[in-house]
Amino acid sequence: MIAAQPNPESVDDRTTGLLTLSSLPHVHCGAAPAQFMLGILCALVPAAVMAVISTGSTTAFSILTTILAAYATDWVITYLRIRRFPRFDCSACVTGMLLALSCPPHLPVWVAPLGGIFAIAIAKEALGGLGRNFLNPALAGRAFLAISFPHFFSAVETTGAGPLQLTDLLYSLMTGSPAAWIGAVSPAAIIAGAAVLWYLRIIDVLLPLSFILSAFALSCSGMSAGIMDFPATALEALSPFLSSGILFGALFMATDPVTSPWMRSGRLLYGVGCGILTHVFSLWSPPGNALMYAILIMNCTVPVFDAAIVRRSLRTGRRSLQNETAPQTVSANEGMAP
Amino acid sequence: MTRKKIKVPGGILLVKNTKDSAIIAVETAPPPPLVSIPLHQHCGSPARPCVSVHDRVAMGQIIGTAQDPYSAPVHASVSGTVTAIERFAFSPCPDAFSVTIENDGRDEFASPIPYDKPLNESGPLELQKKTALSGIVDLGGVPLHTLLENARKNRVDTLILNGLVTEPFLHAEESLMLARTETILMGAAICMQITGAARCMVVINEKRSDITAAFSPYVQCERFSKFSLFPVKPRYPHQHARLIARDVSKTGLAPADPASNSREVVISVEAAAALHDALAELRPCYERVVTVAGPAVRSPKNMRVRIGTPAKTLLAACSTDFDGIQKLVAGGPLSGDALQDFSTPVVKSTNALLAFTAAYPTLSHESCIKCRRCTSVCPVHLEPGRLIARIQNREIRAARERHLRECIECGCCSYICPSHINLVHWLRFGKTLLDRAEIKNARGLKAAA
Repeated sequence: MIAAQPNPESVDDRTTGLLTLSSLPHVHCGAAPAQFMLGILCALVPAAVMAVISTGSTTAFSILTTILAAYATDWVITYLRIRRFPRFDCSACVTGMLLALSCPPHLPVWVAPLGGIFAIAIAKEALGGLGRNFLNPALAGRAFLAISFPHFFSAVETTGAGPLQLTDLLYSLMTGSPAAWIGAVSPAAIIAGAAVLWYLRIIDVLLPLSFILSAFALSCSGMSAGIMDFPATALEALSPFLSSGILFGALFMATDPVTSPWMRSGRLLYGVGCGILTHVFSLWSPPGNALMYAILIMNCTVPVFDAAIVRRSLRTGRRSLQNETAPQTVSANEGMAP
Repeated sequence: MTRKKIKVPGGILLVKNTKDSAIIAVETAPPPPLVSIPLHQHCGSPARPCVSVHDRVAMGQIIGTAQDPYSAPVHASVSGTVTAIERFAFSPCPDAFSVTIENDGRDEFASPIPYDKPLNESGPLELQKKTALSGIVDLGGVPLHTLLENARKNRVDTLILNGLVTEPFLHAEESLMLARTETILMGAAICMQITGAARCMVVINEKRSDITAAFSPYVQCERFSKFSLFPVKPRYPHQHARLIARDVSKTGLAPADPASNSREVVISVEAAAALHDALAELRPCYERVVTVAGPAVRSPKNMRVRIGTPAKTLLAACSTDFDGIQKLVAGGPLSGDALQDFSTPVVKSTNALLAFTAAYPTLSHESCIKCRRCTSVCPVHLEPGRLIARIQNREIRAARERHLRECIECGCCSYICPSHINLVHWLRFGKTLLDRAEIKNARGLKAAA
């Protein structure tokens, strides 16, 4: 019986290899940033297809060139910065796609790629790179374009009298109407894409919902200043409201995890803030621009939310801990390594 | 392993149904010719050696005596001659020793636990004293006798018997629950006798019908009328003593200090079975069941091994491909510790020995994309991603205000992180910085006074 077992002494020569030491855990779920980015890209495809159908093949060309410009810029800047090519993570593709879809229709083909280059070079890489940029790169690129070429962006295409019938409204939900953001032509396509993102747990519902509801409530209250009965007003309010691209902005732009608050309550407040600013700005400026500036300004307030809102400790809920002694204080820089 | 959905209470569902893949049979490993028994297998200060070189020891004899309440005695696992008492190389503690015993193969047994009267006639204090001699250490390194003594002083009403296995590969506990169900329950009954607890909740995996079926006939009979089954979802790390107490009592997270006042005490099924062995059969804690598994192990097995057996002996007995091993882990794939040497001995807390062929994870230089998955999986409601940003900037005070001390180091955040950031490593580093800052602060206060 002893002979059947390998002699432990004889394995010595094979057990001299080096072993890896590390903190736990020793397995990983296998997720990667590229999965998130690919998920967002896929979720944007329906909106892009509807945009191409309604505005023509130049839009398709514009989307592709913007993605290419953003991706190439990412490679060049990362190489200049760290002398190494970046890992394949598609984040620049997402930025390019979002930027192309947030532009107004019928732009010259060279405008959107220019914005893509600015978005990656300045708004993303110069502000710290993936995960550290405080402005949404796509919106920053769009802001750059809106400031540099205002005549392309200020032409507001009002849809005239909005559809007053519910059936018209449903029809416009599917096929879309001309919008300030080409990505926003079909609300149904946007909602389908966002549902995919929600299913993949890349976005949460709270932020876009608070964004849209607060903006909608404000616009309703502004329009129905006591003259019409509510349902007709609501329908009338909804159509220009949807064509302003607010669905696209709320579901794909404001939910960017890097440039939105960390905790749920912070995200709720952030959404409400976006909604209020969108409404206020749209009183005096084109609706597409109002949405953009509202989100960009709220991007800058994210550190305030993050500093103010800390997740509650689990232990504070326990009754038996009420008379626990308070922990000692530690001064701020005590832990500095020598 | 594939991606798992995350639910609100935090944690990850790692085992879907291990019933088919579980290894139930337990093989007895032949005692090795040489055992090296570390004297620091518990959370207190290391045990002091009470034998000297060239002494003859019997199996079960105490070779290290406990030094404080959080320290447990250590027993010889073979009979033979002590050949060396030297500093234990794999312990961070500078005064931890290990005793090397050359096995004479005779397994002469001498129990350190006296037999004077039957168990049901003994009082709680007598049982408590015998428990202290048995050297049983529960999960987390707390000696069983300390747990029970604290529980008795706090007058707990519920004993939680922890039979929840939430990680793959850990078949030792499962086989114990299937094969020795009655022993476990009798051990838990002794614990109730010591602590005076009025009821016992047996927490098991709700998906394992075979374990439920093993327990339910006993729980229904008159003898174990105070026992009830409590099936839960096997969500990692809810097998952790503090979390399981929260899940059962539904109040809040118990403090980390085991002496603190709480209404329940958590005992693992292994500790309960070992207590029965020690008090009814007078066998102290000198052997245990270890699962040897992992990608590099060709024939995974449950092995009953003596404490102090080197890891390489076990791996060789399971026909392991030594050249392919990149990482050797003592414990579960998430909660285990990486071993630095093939000759590291099996200790009382080693429930598994896993040999991995790929050395994940390394410290990543990819940046956080703020996906917040770490926050949603954290079972103690921390925000690991934001915490490590504080720690990386050495903002220790801010990290403490964000409850860094509450971290139970379960590894869920590192497991889920898409950027492969080793968050647990940073959190541990932050705790070290915090310790250092508090010591410095205390010294400053003393100097000022």
